[in-house]
Amino acid sequence: MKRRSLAYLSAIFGASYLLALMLEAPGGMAGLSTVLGTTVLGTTVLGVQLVPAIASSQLYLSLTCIALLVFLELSDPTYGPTRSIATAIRENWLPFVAVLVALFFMIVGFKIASIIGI
Amino acid sequence: MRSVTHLVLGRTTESAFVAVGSIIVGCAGWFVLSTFLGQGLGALASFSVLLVSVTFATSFLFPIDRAHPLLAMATVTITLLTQELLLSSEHLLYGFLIALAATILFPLLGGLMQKDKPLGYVLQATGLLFASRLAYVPFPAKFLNISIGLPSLYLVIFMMCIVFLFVKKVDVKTLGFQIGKMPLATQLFAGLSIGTLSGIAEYFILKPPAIPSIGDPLRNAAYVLFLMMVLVSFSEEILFRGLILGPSIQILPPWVAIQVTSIQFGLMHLGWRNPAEVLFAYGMGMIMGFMFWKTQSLIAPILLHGVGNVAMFFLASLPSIETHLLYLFTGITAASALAAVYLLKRHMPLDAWSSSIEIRRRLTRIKKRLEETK
Repeated sequence: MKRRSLAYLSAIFGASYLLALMLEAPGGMAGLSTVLGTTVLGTTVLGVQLVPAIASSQLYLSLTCIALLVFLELSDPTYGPTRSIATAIRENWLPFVAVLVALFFMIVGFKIASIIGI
Repeated sequence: MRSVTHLVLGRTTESAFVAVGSIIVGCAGWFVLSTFLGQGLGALASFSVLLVSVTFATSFLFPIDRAHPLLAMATVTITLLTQELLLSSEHLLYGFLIALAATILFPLLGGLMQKDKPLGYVLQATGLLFASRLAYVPFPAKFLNISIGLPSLYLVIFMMCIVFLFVKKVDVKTLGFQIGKMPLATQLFAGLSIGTLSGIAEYFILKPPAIPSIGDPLRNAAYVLFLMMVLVSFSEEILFRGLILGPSIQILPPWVAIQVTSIQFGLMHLGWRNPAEVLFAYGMGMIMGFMFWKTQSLIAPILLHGVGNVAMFFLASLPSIETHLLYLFTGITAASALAAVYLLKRHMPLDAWSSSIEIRRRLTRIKKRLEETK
C-alpha cells in the first residue's frame, strides 16, 4: 500500500513533468519565484562562475559517491559481524548513496550525450 | 548551565541576553562577511545572521525539555545559511561543497544518535535539504538556462524525496497526503485565498521585471500551472513540511519546530538578494507550517504555495496593471483570506496550545448542543 501510494504520487509528478516539457515555455519564464530553483539560476554571477563550479562539483560528487559505495561494501554484514554503529550509519546513508549514485549516472549520461553531440 | 541561567535570570531575560549577544555577533560578522562575500552581500548576510539569531533566541521563550534538539537544528540552520550565502556569492563552488559535505555529515550524525532515534531521523531528513542543492550539479550549465531546466531540477529533487520515502518506508499518509483534521472545503478555501494574497504580496516585495509575452499565452499559462502547482509546490512542501517539520514536531515544541523550518525555508530564498523576500518567505513558512500542524495535511500548504507562485507569475506577465483594479483585487483577496482565517479558527482542533477561553467557549457550545438534542 505504501509503495502503491508512492507510485501514484510519482505518476502524477511524472505526468506533470512531461506536460511541462511538451509545453516548453519561453526561457524568460523559467526561474521565477521558486525556492530551490532561485539561488543558482537567479544569481547574477551565474554566467561567470557557474560553469567551473559545476565542473569541479561533479568531480567531488563522483569521488564522494565512490567513497560511500566502498564504505557500504566494507560494512556489508555478509562479510562478517559489523559494529552496530556501522550498521546504523549504513542504514542512514543508504537513501543518500542512492541519490548520489543517481546523480553520478546523470553526470555520466550528460557527458556521453555531449561527446556524441546530442 | 542553561538550567542555572534559567533559574537565576528567568526565561525572558535569558532570551533577551541571547538576542543582544546575537546582535553583537551579527554586527561583528558584517565586516568579515562583507569583505569575503563582496558584491554587497555583507548587509544581506548580517540581516540573515540576525534573523537566525532572533529566531533561536525567541525559541527559549517556549518550554523546552531538552536543549540538544534545538542545538542540532541551530547547527543545521547555520550550515544552511553559510551554504546559501556562498551559493549567492562568487564562491559558488564552496557552496556546493558545503551542500555535499552536509548531505553526508548530518545523516552520519543521525546514525550516531542511536539513543535518540527521533532526533536522528530529523537530522537524516535535513540531509535532503542540502542534497536538493546538489540537483544542479549533473546538468550542463547551458541546460539550466532553458525552460526545461527548472522542471528537470524539480524532478530530481522530487525523486530524492521519493527515494528517501521508499528506503525509510515512510507512509505518505503520515507525510501529509490525507484529508487530515479539518474539512476539505476549509482547507481548499484557505489555500486558495491566502495563497492569492501571498502572491500579490510577493509581487510587491520582489517587483519582478515584466515577463515578455512570447508565444501562445494559453500554452504559457498551462506551463506555469504545471510547473508551479505540481512540480514546485509538491517538491518544496514534501521536503520542508512533510519530511522536516513533521518529525521536528516530535522533538521540539510545535511553535519552535515551525519557526526553525520557516527560517530554513526563508534562508533558501537568499538567492533573490532581497532581505524583504527572506522575511516574507519566513512568514509564509510560519503560515504553511501552522496549517500543516493544525490540519495534519499537506493539502492547504501545497495549494497555498502553488497558488501564491501562480498569482505572482500572473501579475508579472500582465503588460500593464491598472492601479485601481489591482487594489480592488487585493481588497477582495484580503477579505477572502480573513474569511479563511475565521473558518480555520472555527474548525481548529483543540490541543494543549489552545487558550483556556477558547476551550471554555467550545465546551459551552457542545453543552448547548447536547441540551438541544435532549
